[in-house]
Amino acid sequence: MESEEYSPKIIAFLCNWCSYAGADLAGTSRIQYSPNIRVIKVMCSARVSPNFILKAFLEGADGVLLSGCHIGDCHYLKGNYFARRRHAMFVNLLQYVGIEPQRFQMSWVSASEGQKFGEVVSRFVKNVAPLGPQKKMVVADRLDALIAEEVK
Amino acid sequence: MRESLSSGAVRTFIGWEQGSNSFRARPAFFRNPDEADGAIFSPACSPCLVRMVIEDLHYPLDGPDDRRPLGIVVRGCDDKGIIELIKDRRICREDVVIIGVDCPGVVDWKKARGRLENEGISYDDLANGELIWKDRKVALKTSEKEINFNPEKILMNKCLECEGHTPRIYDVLIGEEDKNRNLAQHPKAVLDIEERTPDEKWEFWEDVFSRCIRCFACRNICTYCYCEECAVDPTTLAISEDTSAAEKANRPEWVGRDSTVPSNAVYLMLRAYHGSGRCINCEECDRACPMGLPLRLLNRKVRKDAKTLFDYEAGNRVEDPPLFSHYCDTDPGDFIW
Amino acid sequence: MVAAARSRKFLPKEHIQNFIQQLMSYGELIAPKREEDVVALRSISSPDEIEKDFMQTSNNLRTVVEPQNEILLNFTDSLKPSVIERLPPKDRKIVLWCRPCDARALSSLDDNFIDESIPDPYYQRRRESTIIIGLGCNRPFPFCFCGSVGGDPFSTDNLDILTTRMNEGYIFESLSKNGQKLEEYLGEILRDGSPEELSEAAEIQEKANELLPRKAPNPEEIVADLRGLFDAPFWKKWGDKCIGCGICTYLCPTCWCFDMTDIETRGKGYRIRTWDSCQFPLFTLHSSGHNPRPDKASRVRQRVMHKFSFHPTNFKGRVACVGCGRCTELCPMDIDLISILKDIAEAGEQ
Repeated sequence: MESEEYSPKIIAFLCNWCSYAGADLAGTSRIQYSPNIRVIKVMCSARVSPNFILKAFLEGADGVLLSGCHIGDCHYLKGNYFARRRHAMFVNLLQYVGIEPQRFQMSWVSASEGQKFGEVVSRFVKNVAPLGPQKKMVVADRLDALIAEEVK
Repeated sequence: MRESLSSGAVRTFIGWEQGSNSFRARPAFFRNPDEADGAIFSPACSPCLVRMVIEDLHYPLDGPDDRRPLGIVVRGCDDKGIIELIKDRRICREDVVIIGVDCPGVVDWKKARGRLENEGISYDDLANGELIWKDRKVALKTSEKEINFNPEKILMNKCLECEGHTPRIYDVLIGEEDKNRNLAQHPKAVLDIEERTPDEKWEFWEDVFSRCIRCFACRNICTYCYCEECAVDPTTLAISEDTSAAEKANRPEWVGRDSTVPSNAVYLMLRAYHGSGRCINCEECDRACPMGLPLRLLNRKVRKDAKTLFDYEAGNRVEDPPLFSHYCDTDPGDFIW
Repeated sequence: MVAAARSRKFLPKEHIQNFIQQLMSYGELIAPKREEDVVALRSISSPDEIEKDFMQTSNNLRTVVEPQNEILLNFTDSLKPSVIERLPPKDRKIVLWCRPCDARALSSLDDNFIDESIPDPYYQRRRESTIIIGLGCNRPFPFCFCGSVGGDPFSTDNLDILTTRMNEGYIFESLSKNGQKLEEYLGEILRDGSPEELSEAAEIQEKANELLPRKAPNPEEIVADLRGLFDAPFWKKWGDKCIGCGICTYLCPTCWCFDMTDIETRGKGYRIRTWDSCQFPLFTLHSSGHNPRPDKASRVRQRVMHKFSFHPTNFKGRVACVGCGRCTELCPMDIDLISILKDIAEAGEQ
């Protein structure tokens, strides 16, 4: 029997101008990094509200990465400042409730930092993988548990 | 002890009237000076009246052409709610006429009902007695006796950590101004939870989330929740008669209607998060919850973080900008790679 | 009330542990459990979880017969999509220490769900597989008024077994076939009640009715009065105080409104039935955009009239209120049903 090694599924929210371009650069430069991320492109890191992150966990994501431009370099000038403030608060709340801190991470990656992007992802996956699949917040699992055996 | 402002200057005065028994009071709306005799202020007055101001925004108490201000009675804890509403530009200072009162503390019915037998309170006492403050402590006066209560066993949790007995903004103040305003200490219960491991924390919170029935009472009674379309309530939509069916159908649903643990977790966490820098610790959510969930532990955490991370207190000064609508170069950023 | 023909056993307090364990082997046991300041009916996994001193549970039998999350069917979007309709299991459930008012409320739920032509199969299954052991109220709760609406602290409606708590244990009376079967199963744990015990129980039961703290106006008169009071001014008075939270309807033992939604997640779909409330602003929103109950006054009126006018009209005069008092006690703004009924009675006299 083939045993499948667990491979975490990471949702990555990348801002269009910096991080997405950085990820693109990592691709064209053939930089190897853990292939676990599924990218969702947003125009700015400030677009990402805690709704998105929680929804990702509800749908079964094992980890969420949010990446934007460096402070001072936001294409919209101030977006990442707001994101920084907002997520400082949110990260604390997530951890307070018992979601492991390794499951959510923010990073600043610029368009020229393809190398850094690869490192960020690999480091993230390395931290998250030992925790195993995320089971606390998946709606489908809870609903499955409610399904009765009997068919009408 | 009652106001006479009901003569013309104000369209409706929001205060309290006697409720279903001596330990309970409910909000009441006084429109003529004669009705003002029914107004009370006693330890039974636990509902926070600031909510009624928000209700008036969605469901006007008076006709649309009546531009007179609303009157409201405000205790030491409620003034923060008014300040928050002014900050968020939902109302202007001129829209409310405030009577401030000196409040030594109000009762928590959930605590009180467990004490009735111990304190020897008969149902007759409950119906006909009068709850008063004696030397700033709560007592029940009946025709035959007077029962004094231990504050810890009867007052709302927030009253045990009162930040100040009188409000800071008011037009008229009844009672003496409380000069010692202390900030609420970071409650030990929150710190206790912070010390645990993630799995221990989840054990605690999963149990809490599993008991939630998603009645939305905490949201409806909240002094900062005024959104007509709630992000975590798929049953609310801000629509008009012209909204197309396609628009209604394509509304993103962040949380389903189910009340499984993950959905409840998202509901409660997001609501607490939306209260960052806006939660004033009125603890109405805690009081309202029919399942006795310790919601104050979530909202106090958020309030504590606002203070430690950004040195921000909700309801402190009207001039403060809302927490997430501005930023600072010194905001913490070590958690970002 | 105590009828002469019922079998009356006694459950000594030394046997309680054993009793609970036997129940747990008979089916899924649901009993009151303390959760800080509140006691709720929950599934029990060990006898120590059961709370013996409580007045009223915050939730009621609705959590057992019409639970919050009921999966009606599930579907997948694989290459061969399938839709599988589900039915709840027939596994036996035992509700222990249910208050008689909550059991009485099942009649209103039955009115709605168990129709001769098309019964609701989910509700029916759960209802038929649940055995209810009632605990009479020696001392009613501060908000109780069951006597005013045709109930009694020791009512036997819809109960399989009624117990009366006494110092040395409980009087145990089987009232139905299922109750009888459970009584036989318990065997030696029960013994015959002695004449002294039985007369003591009778006294407790009679006294309980006098201890009811509140009285509501006569419901038959209310039903008649309500016909002309649709546009009465006092609805706005109460509506203004309401915050539309839904607690009154979510915790009412006779309420049953529900919503059905399809949830799609991870390639799987579920049609789920959840509770809904007429107090939510968009409960009556039409697709056209029109909402016939756009303000709080009309929604408060709807709740009261449903219980005291529409339900009795549709279902042979049965008032859909059992006098448990939860809507008043748990209302964050203390909207008092009895005060509203008094307003109705007063307006009706004019």
